[in-house]
Amino acid sequence: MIPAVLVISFVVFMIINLIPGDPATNLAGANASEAQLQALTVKFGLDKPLLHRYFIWLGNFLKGDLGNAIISDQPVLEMIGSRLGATVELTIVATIFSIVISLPLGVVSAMKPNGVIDRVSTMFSAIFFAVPGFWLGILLILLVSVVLGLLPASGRVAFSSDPIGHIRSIVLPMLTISLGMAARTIRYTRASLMDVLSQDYITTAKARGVPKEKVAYRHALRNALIPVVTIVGLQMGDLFGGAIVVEQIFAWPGIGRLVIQAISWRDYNLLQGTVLYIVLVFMVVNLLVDIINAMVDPRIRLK
Amino acid sequence: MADGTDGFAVKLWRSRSGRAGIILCSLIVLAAFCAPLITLYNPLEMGVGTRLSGPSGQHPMGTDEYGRDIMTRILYGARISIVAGVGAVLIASFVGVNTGMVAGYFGGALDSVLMRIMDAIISFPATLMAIVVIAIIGTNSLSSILAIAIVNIPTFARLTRANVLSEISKGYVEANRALGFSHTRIMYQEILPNVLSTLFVQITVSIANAIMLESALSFLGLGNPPPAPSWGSMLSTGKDYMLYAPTYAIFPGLSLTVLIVGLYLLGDGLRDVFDSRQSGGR
Repeated sequence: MIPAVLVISFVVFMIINLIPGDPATNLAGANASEAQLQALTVKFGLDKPLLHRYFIWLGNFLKGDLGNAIISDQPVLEMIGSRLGATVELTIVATIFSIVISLPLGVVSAMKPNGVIDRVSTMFSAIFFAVPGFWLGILLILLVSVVLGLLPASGRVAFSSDPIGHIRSIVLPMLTISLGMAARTIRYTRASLMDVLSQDYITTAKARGVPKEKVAYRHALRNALIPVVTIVGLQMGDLFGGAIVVEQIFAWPGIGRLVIQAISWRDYNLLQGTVLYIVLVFMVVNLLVDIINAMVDPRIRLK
Repeated sequence: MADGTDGFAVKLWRSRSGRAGIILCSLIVLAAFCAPLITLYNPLEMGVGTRLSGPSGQHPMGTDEYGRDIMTRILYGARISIVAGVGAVLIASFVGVNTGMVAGYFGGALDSVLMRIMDAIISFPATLMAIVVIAIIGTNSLSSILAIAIVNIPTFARLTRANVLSEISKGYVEANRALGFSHTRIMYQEILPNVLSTLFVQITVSIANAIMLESALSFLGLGNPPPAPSWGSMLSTGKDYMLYAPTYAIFPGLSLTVLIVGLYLLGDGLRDVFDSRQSGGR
């Protein structure tokens, strides 16, 4: 884990420093004097060699300091922290909602293939599997906000100032993410459960006279859920890094929007910190998925 | 192999999803490359109609904020999407297949180094990786293709490597070595044909995902710079004019969805054909 973090921090630092354009020149403006430019270059430590700068940055990072953002001069960690709530909230709400839709549909579809529910849910997942999230978001805004006028089109209302308004503002971004997620989860749940239901030990259990429902829920579902946990976990890992496009559509003030802003401001420090944060979270979530899988499936042993 | 190959197209056409996929994809490709025959307008010409007008006989999908014909822009925009998707996946599969082939065939330290590089790429979420690559090389018509290609390389490398490893465990590779064939010949003439079927399915699915990512990038303003008629940037401007011209943001997204559905169906069809051949042939 620790070597991986070091490698990732090095890769992120080097990659971000490949971006052309110098933040000092950028901040000083076109009319800056040579002395002003020099002062800014020294201030940001840009006069030192690249590797030297990496070790300074790494040392500070290990002390919990990612430096200050160049444009706003706020600590990067503080800026990430202020966006974290919005992203985590959206991720968790969207994941829960997608599981609530997809798990029952997937299970019922697998138990009665080609039944009415199976057909409806297969169609649902085929549609939302292919519809790009950003178009779905636009369609929802068009239908729910513009035509029906039911919910706000963008922005996030603070929970403390207006709890109802806060819930209203999260509905559309949540739907945009969770419908696509649910489409994938339904497919995996159905395929995985059908696969397990066709195995010998299930036939044995049925032959012993165990009721069909009990076979499905007690014997099959636990094994069938292993690949589902993986796919949900991986999607969550992606989301904790900020649903970049969805946050952009709904002007949702999360991490994903911060990345886009950091790029358009050419703020290296901010971009470096945010990208490092996202990659680390992605890694931790993948690790957690492995641990959960090992808990659900005793056959899997962690190295 | 020979008896399977001549019936391939027929089998694909006989599978329901394969047929639907072929029809949808060829319709869009045909429309994109015959665009000048379908529409009389130029995708970049401003003021061919009133600004932001809804669908009408003259402009079946309406006009945009500069009075350009939206249908024309969608037709020409299809070229951007198709070229970006196919181009990125061609680069990715070329690099990825060779990497996976070499890593799987030779194994050892080379394998470890190559696969760790692939792991490093995968440790970034795909959209973020593409955005960072574009930030480094700048936004132009080629940079998004390159960025999407890089994101897709590990998929092909890992898939090829896994397939190569399972082929090597079969007797024929050993036999070929005993016959004194060169490594290149064994890799590209003996092993590669056996792993092609899985690769074809992956290529189709990857093209769909690449087209989706290209649109997402140009939606974020990181794709083809304006005035290129890319679907993603049309969606993003369409969103801004939603109150005045609600249909503006509908048609580019619809075209994108139809193309993606077509590619997924084609991928399903290919998988059906290869699966039936595998289970029927043994």
